[in-house]
Amino acid sequence: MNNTNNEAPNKGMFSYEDSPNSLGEKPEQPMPFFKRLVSIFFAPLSLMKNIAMFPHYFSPIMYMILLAVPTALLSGAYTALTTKATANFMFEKYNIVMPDTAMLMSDSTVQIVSLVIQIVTVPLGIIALGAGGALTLFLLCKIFRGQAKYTQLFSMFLHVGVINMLGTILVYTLSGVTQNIWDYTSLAPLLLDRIDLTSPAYYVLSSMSLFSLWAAAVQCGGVKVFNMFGWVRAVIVTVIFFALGLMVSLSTGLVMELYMGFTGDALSGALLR
Amino acid sequence: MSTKRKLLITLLVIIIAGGFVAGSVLFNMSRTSVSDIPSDAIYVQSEAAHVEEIITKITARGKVELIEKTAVYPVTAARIKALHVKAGDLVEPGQILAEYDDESLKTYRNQLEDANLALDNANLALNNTKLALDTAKLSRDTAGLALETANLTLAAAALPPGRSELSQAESQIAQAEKTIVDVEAQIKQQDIAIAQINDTIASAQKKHEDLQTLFDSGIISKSELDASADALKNHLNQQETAESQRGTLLSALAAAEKNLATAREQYDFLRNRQEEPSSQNLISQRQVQADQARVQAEQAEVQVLQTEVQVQQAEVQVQQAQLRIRQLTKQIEDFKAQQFAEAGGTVLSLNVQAGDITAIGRQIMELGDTDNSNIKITANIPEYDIASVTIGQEVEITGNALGKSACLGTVSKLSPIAELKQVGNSTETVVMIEILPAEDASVLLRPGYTVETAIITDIAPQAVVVPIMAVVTEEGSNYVFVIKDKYNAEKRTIETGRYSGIYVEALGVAEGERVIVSPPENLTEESHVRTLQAADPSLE
Repeated sequence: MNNTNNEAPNKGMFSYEDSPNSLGEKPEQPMPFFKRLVSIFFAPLSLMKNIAMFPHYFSPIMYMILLAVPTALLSGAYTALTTKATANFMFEKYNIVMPDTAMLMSDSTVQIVSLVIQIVTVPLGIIALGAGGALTLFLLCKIFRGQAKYTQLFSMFLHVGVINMLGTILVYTLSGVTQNIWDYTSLAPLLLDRIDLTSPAYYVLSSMSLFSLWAAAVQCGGVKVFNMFGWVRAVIVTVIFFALGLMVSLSTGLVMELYMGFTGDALSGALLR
Repeated sequence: MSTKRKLLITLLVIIIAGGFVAGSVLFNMSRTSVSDIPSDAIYVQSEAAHVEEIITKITARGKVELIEKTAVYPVTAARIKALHVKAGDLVEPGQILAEYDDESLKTYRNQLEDANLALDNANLALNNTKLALDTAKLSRDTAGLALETANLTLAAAALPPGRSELSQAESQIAQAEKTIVDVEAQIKQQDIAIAQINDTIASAQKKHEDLQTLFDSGIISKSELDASADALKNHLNQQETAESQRGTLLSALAAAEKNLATAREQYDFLRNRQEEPSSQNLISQRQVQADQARVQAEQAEVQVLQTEVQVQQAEVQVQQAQLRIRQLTKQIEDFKAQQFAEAGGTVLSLNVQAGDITAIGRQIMELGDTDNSNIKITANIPEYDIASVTIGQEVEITGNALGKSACLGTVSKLSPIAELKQVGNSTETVVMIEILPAEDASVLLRPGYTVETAIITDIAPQAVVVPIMAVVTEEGSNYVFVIKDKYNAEKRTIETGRYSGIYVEALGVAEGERVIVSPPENLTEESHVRTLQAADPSLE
């Protein structure tokens, strides 16, 4: 929309020509399905500009559903590795012998049901997380006097979710090759010597992976475009948001440590008695 | 930015990222030490077999008792006037234990008088019954005679009478007349007896009324009043018996008179038959009379039998009265106002109190010597454990009286028989045993205490034991999984022996060998296992 009267731009609307943060041509229609998918990886700013005018939900949800299939197929082996790692951890730290669920998981019916559930729940999980993340980011933008709409941010999170799913597929694939559950796209295997499921450091370092940083960079672009921020302010908001996510991971680790510390000792003590 | 530049940047990013990931993988893999832990190892818990001394015990609850006790019975059956001892007192031989009330002696004497009176009544009843028996016999004889007469009359009805028949008829008349005279004499005697009884009844009634007045005034006891009432009742019974006998005699008199009439009738018939032959009607009449006479004879026989039974009953009552008199006489002779202790000791239990009435043969107290050497412990051992118990085995004795320390004792006796006893909510077959406590324990124990005993039946000084949870039973055999070469499980058959808490003796396992505790169901001899390093130093 042109603002020829030099008035302040309407709240939430772009001012391409007059704003010091003009981003060039204004998109006239929503991006096509496949172009949108490619843009996530190769032209994220263009995608954000398009989302700013035309917040879109259907396409990213379809991308996630499509990606959920390979994710679910690869999760079986990853789950088995996770179970084994958990059993190993419980045994070594608390002398607790976990029940052997391998026989149960080898049942074909169980596998099919598990597959279907994952195909449904993974996109739903990302949508739910995206809704919560969008709300948090929306509040942050408001604190910094941004103009972003919730719908824009939510659409952005759905698109960024595709990056995270790609990362998950890569992690599952590497786990199958290396036969352990390290996230090799993160700093955890470089800085930690073993997987400690009750260690806050494990959760924090696992959260700082290439794909999560990539997703954060795309989010930064979206924050800049939707709020008409400069890069500095956009980076600040994005960093704050990323830090909040790390704090959630840290809290998860702390809760696990406290919970397992209490439960594991109690179980271990009962067994020893 | 040109497409080419974009592609170059993209390629560069991919290479850097890929290098990062590859480097991370290689770095992590190189850091992880080569582990010889089999990937399919099952996590298990293990414990090393160790040597310990196993002491097998059989526990039972016991009661402390005295070895020798004296039961004290009353010297007389009377009311206790005063008790001079109580439970727990020490008694010397010859010491007075109790005094008995001499009111009991007066009571016995009153009872003796009543018993004598009862004997007199019983004798009188016997005599009356015998008299009734004689009367019944007489009636029976009379009836028999009448029957003979009737038969003869019937026989004679068909024949003309000869001189002998007539003589016979005359003799029957004479006999019937004699019978009538005899019965009338007996009736007179009976009337005299009845008159005497009536006089006695009148006296007894007056005596009873007088005694009632005295009782109402509180001068005499109830027993005396009851005795006079019993006496009056007896006299009334006698009157009834005598009246009954008189009635019998009157019936006999009527029968005799009837016989006389029959005999006379026979005589007249015979006389008439001499002149005229008898008719068929007469024969029929004579037949009927004969039948009637037969019935009366049978009834008289029954009456005799019944009266004989009454005579026997009366004789029994006489004997009972005599026995009662003898008992009371003995009680009076044996009555002692005081009871003395024949032996010394402590009064263990007292079963009576002042005012109670004692009975011969019923224990009134128990004496015993509470000296240390006179203490024993009795316990009941179930039949499934008794086979392990023998005389001489050492016993650990504990209880509230012994405090925290345990004392020792020895099994001294096993009962030769088993008994069924209530144990808790069920019954159980048990064998009683006796335990002699050591001298230091006897000092602390007192009769009546409850103690816990543990009989040491077996000691194994060097038994190799494993946790009970490590033993698996299959098809009647016991086996354990022994960890071999760090990560392998060897299935080994063992023989289990004595139990000690949560451990069991295992023959077939050496000391130090680690066995798997609670082996999982999927564990086989081909399985790899992994046990906690901290618990198994051999894995380090």
